[in-house]
Amino acid sequence: MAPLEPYEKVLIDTDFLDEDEDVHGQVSCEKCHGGNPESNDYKTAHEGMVKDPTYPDPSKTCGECHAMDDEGGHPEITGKYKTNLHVTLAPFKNKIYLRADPDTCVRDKIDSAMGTHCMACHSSCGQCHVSRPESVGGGFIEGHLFQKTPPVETNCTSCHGSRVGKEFHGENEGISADVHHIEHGMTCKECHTGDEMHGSGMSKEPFDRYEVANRARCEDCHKMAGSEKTEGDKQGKDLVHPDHAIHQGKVSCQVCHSMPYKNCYSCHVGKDKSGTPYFGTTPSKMDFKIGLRPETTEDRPEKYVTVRHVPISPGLFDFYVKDALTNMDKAPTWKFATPHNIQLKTPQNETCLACHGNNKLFLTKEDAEPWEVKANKDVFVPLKPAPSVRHAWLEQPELHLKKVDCLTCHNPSLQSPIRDCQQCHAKDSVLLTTAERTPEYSLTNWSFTNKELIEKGDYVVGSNRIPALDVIGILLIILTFAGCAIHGTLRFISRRRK
Amino acid sequence: MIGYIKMDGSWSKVRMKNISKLFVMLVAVFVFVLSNSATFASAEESGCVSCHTNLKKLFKITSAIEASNPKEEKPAESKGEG
Repeated sequence: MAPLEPYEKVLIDTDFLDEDEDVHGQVSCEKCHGGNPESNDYKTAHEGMVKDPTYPDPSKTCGECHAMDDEGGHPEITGKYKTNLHVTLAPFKNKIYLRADPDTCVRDKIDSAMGTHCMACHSSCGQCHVSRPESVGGGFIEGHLFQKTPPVETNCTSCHGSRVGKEFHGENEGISADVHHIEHGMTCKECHTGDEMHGSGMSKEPFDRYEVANRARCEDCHKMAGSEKTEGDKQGKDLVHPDHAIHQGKVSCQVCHSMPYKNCYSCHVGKDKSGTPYFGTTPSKMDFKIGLRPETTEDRPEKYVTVRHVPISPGLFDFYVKDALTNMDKAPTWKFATPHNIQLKTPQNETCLACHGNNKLFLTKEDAEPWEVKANKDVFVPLKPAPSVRHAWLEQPELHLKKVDCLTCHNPSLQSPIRDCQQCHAKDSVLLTTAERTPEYSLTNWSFTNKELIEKGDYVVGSNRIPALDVIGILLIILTFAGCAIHGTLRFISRRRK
Repeated sequence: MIGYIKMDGSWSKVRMKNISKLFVMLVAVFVFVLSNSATFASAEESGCVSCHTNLKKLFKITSAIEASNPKEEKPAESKGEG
């Protein structure tokens, strides 16, 4: 996003003053911004002027009209600003406080540092609908004309750019854009509606952004096949694949459908010799890790989730106060994440074994620095033995894993997986998908039974047989024994005669 | 339309056509001003609007401000992605 020239940032489009173009232009400037409109000198004209009158409290500006769900059609918006995380950035502070030394002196210094470095990234009504966020330099989006939907580039991804924006638009090397964007032309607002953006409306401020009651959810659009749809449901593809029935409630959607995403490491903030604030992170890495969610809820029961490393380190605030984060163990540094590069087919969902038993996908102690091991102890996934070991009770486990579709035994419609060999290795094998059992077993039949399996390239002992060969085999055995018996009898008789 | 107007103590006959035209024009201007009163109010009453809609003025002022203020230095040590 190209920065604006200083004059461009504050140039008002005359259309703004046209009632038909923007009703907000009918309100005098000083009513919202203050200042002295009588003065012709820019210095005195700007005395007492408020650049963004909508931050932090928009109730006296936007709230004049947008506070009540009135008959004029203005939805209740500004009333929710106190729980609007774009305004409060509460989770940011909550997570730092969890890790911080409880000493008030230390906390004051942390507050000061966060005020300089972190809390400037907030937004407001104005910094979404009128101008670019201050944290990226500000400036009118379109000559002060109010934008009902904030533009993606100047507003959404100007803050959510390095991770979400690049993932969604496919700007990470070798990784395609999110299928919702590239195939369906969706932008941020299709999932993150105005209702969500304007605040949760919850009586208590959410501790974490994933606790927001009206947040975007995949299941808002994607219903399980056959489930009832209510009027107003958004239309996404139904979840028809049987894997959904198996993994639903246990595994988050992103575990199967997201691609590798950016992880950030370390962070330290300070001021240089001229007093200009700076920050530094170590180079980010593209990776994909499945971890455990330490605390599941009824609302979000999935235990296995994608986790992203957040940019934090014990020395984050060392410039301001040494050893400020004495409780680093209180919050994981590998944090539940919802990457925005969703694909229908991903390397990990190609086959069951692409994920099950693929230990490098799972977050383990080896992925953590020594100082963060304890913090992530509940996120690490205890690795299970390789599938071949877990299926060692089978005859030829490797062959079974290679040739048999996992869903044959791990059938979602069954309460427990099939462990009885006879279910497959029998005349009425469960491997058969057609109702016909052709050809019928006949002693004179020279072709395979359950031909369907042979045609698929599989030979299943006990299920595929040539009945006539069975008869010949049995006859040969009988004849062998009979030959032995006759031979023995004759030798016995001849010996007695001698 | 013809009428009489008393001038210098005597009535003189003038053509009222021109006066009528003038009257109609005045009404038209009045109506136009009324219909755009808000815009005019903003544009004429507010020094903010007259300046912030004028590209030349803004360019001049912002350049002057930039020249008078020390350039905000880019932090030399910032690195990585925020």
